[in-house]
Amino acid sequence: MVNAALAAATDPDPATRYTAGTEAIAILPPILQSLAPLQQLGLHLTGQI
Amino acid sequence: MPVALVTGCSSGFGEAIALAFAQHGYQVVATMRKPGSAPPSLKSLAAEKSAAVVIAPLDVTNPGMRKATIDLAIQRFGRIDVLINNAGITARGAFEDTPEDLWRVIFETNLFGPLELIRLVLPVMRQQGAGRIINVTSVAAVLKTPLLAAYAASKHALDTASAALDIETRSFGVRVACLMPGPFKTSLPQNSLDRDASPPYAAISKRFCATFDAMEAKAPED
Repeated sequence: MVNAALAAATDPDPATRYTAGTEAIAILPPILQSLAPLQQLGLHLTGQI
Repeated sequence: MPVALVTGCSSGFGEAIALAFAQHGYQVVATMRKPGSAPPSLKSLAAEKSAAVVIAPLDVTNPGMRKATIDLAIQRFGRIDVLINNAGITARGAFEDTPEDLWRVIFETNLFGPLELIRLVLPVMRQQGAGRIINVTSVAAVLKTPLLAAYAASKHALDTASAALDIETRSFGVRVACLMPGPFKTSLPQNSLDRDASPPYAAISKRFCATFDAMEAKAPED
């Protein structure tokens, strides 16, 4: 959790979500991957891409 | 030195994060409702590095305390580079066993308190031309966990607001991200405002609690 917090604070282009301690939750990665295009949509709607 | 403001530092994630950021060269404002009962680790650090670490009182549901905390950080360190909204509460219980007032208590702490801190810190970060807002949510934000409806809904709302804000503020150099922990050994379950299951929900509640409590959990500093 601490490493995730430091990464979120320092990554030049931070991710929308950082997970920690979720290795055993196999259904989580595809759910989060499916949300990623929504950020792109938001950037498109606001003319940022 | 960059400045980090962390809420909910009396134990668990907040304590571990505040210590880690201080060790990584940040000046830290570590907040909690009752600084008198701050963990020994943070008390020692604040005594040892009084110029860089300050422990401050903050109930995130209190508007006056929110404003005072932001003012304190600016007066003390001149800027806020990272806001970590970590303070949170939970309550296990079936929806029918969870009254409206408890839903509102959970949303005040897990959603509205963090959002209002963000509202206060955004002008500071915009003026700086840089800032990072980190909201601690939960896997429950996306997994729609039964018997945690109020908690999961509050974290889902914070996740959604964070994703939208990250798009609104990035042209100012301000980015917003969520930390989404799975099961950890924190004081959150001990402090949970759990409701006893009424008879219709007793069986699934018992099974859920047994499964939940049996999950392998890491330590917050991991």
